[in-house]
Amino acid sequence: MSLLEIDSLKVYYSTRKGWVKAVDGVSFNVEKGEIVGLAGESGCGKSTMAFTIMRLLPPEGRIISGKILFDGENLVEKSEEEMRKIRWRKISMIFQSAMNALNPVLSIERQMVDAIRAHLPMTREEAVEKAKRLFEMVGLNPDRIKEYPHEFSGGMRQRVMIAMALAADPQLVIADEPTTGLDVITQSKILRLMRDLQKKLNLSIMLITHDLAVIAETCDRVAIMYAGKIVEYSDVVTLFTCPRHPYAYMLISAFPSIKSKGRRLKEIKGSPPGLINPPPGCRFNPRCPYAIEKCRVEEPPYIKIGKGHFVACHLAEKLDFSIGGSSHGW
Amino acid sequence: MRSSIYKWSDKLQVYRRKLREFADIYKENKLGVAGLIILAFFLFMAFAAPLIAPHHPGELWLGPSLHPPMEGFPLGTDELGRDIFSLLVYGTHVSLVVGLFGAFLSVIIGSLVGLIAGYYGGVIDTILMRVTDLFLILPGLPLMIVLAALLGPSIWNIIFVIAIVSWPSTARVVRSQVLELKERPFIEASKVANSSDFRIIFYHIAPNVAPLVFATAVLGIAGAILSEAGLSFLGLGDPSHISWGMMLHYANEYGALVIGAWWYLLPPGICIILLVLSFVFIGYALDELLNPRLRRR
Amino acid sequence: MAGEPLLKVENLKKYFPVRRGFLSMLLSKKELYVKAVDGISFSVNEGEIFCLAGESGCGKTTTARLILRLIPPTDGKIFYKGVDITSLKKREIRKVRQEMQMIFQDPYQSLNPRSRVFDIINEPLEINRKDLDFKEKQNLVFKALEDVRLPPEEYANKYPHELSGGERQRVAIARALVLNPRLIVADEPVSMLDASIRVGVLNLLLDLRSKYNLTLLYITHDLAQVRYIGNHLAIMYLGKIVEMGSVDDIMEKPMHPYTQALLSNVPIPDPTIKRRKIMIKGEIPDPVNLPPGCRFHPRCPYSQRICSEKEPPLIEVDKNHYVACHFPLR
Repeated sequence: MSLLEIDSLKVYYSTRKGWVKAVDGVSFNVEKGEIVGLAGESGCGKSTMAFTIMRLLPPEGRIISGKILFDGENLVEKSEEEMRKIRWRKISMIFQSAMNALNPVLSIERQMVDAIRAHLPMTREEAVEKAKRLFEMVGLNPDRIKEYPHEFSGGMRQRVMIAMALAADPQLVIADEPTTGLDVITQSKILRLMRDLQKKLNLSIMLITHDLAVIAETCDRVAIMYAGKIVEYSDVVTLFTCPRHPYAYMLISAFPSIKSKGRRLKEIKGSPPGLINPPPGCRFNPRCPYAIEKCRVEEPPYIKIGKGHFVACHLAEKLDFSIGGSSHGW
Repeated sequence: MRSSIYKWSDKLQVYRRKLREFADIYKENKLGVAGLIILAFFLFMAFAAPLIAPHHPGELWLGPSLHPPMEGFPLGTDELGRDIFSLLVYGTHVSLVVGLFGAFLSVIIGSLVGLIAGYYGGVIDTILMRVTDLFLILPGLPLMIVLAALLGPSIWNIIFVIAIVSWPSTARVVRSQVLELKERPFIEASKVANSSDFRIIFYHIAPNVAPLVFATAVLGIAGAILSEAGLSFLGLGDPSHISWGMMLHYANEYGALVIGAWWYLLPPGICIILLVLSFVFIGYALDELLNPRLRRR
Repeated sequence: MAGEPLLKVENLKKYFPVRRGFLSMLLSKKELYVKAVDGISFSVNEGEIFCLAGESGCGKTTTARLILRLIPPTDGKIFYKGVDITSLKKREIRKVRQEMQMIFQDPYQSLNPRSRVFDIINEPLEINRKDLDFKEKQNLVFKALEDVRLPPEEYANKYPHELSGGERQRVAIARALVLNPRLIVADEPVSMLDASIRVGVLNLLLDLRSKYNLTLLYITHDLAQVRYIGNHLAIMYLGKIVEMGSVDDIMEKPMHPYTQALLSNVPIPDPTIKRRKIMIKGEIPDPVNLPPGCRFHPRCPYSQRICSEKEPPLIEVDKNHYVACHFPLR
């Protein structure tokens, strides 16, 4: 049984202009002990996914249908009471710009202790001890626990957030853009820390980011989202070497790399659609150079095309993009 | 080659569309709508005054002195036999004119000060802000009374006095907005294009500050109306333009309270309250809608 | 003049005084400065794309503003077309500025939200080309819009909030082009855009460069962008240039330890490439309290005694390849 199983999830936001279909029929799994990446551009719905799993949607956000099975239990049906026991203890989250989420006027020790004691039954002394051990685990000097957030650099604050996310030994950590805003060297250190902790504690991590390079280096499996749907889901090597969905292929090809020389990259014309009235049929069809009539009319089904490899494209079986080798064709 | 698209008619179309969208959102604010209705009522009263008021407000001895409502005099008479209803209707003019002009002048002065102080910073900012502080510290009502007494009872002096006392708060609000705006890249882009300071202040910064100022200005109108009423009540108003405040002043002078002449005391008082409230409601509604802090992008 | 660099910067410095509390001003007379740019020299030839790269706080953005004379330098000289423009009066600067334009990082903040696209692009003409009548100005605006591939009929009357990030950035480029500049300074022009849009804008810049023989001073922290678009590169660290040369030379044979570390830590969107990343300890130090000698020495894995005592000068170690290090790696 997978640790996290998402089945046909639909999450819409109600706005004055209509329903924003942020997540529109998404299914994928996260197994124990693996790092899964959720990649996509801004507005594709990946942050909404994270908030939905944690049941932290704002009032305008509604789960329309679908299931979120965590360890067999459906989180969609849980009450707020029950979710409180799950949040942080079984599933925890590191938010975007979390390093700016610390209160500047309280010491870090105070904030960690408050957070720990809010979720775990401990005395103050025990919580302080735990905070110190967490500091060691993320590579920070435990003696610095009494300092204030502004005395820590961005990278160090991010480690504090990771420490707090791990305080209650969760099984799944959702990390939403954990390294945006950090310089490249610090980013490497944070990602390496996350991978080490993942191995040591046998965690599962769901890494949400727009940066495909980070995904390539950190994740075991990756799902690419576009306009509220998953277009391709597979292990990371397959996705980067032989993707099946045109968007996945074009996105990977449009990523500049320090290793690629001279080749002119191809852009994807147009821009992602609004989510209130997405285009009929396949949502990518207005921008897809391979689209046929069927793509404009019928939504492609999400089918298994190989071991652990899912694609949502009418032409998935016919298209063959091999990256790094000869050009594509069909 | 191509037809000119930089036409005023295009801009007008855009404005009309924006106005309609704005009206849609505004409609949802109940207080704002209530304010607009009350204001509409008073505006009607002001514009249709010659048609509604049965008599010219200045005409004396149309009826007996201080008589309660009777045939031909729906709100009775004042001490000089004038028709109170007519006085009330025409009094709308004074309140609206003083309120609007007073607030307008105050906003102009305050905005200019705020724009210049905020944009230039340094010594100019310090000097202007200290002047602003000075005016803020001086107690408003006593200052108004003294100035009004010195300058004499004219409607324009009242307007001037109100503006002098109330511009500092606009200045501060505008300045803080300017401080934030001037750091934005589009201002820098303008500088790279060799834009003059004048152009940046009035073409780029001012329009972006305008919505916030507008909301503050509307509240300022409410304050101005109240100030005028207060000054007139104290006897400093312009006797050739009888406002509601002045009606209350005369009512008090001639013992309306003592003899229980409610027809003289209540109507002007209620009108003042209602008109002020209407602007307060509208101002709050606008503030909610236009304040950039509350509505990002 | 062939052979003469279009832009030359000599020993440019910019120090920002630090505002201190009243008490510390009483206790110690010493003025504190942030040495944002501390003596950099480089030249840019006509028609090339020169990249200024480094992490946040290294001084690259300040350098851009110094070159455009948006802020006055503390010391040093700037030469444009051989002419010293460092201390030109306001009126003369205005003439030079028509040939130098800038593109900013944030597409959402670099356009006046209350102006239409037409007015935004027209503004530089309004201010600087009073000799043109309205029809001529309109034609130039339309041409600029066509150059950035935004059809004028569709876009001229739009407001910024109706445009996507990529479209706004194109408008910003059109605004920079309309005066026919020779040099464009681009400060992280694509860093805030989605991955699939970035390549479009980068390709546009490359095409415009070819079409108009533009010279680009491209500022970024993303070395992948540098590889894609740059000809020459200068790596900055804490206000100094640590390595400078052609993009290919530096990327293939980095000689400064910092450059090496940076390059090894930039993530690559290819999971099949496994590298050993050079882990650098510590974080970027406080720019007010700079380490003595070589600024990188506290973090450098190869530092020796001389590195903490004497600042290494930037010298040509290989043909057209400059390094500021006592022990450059070969």
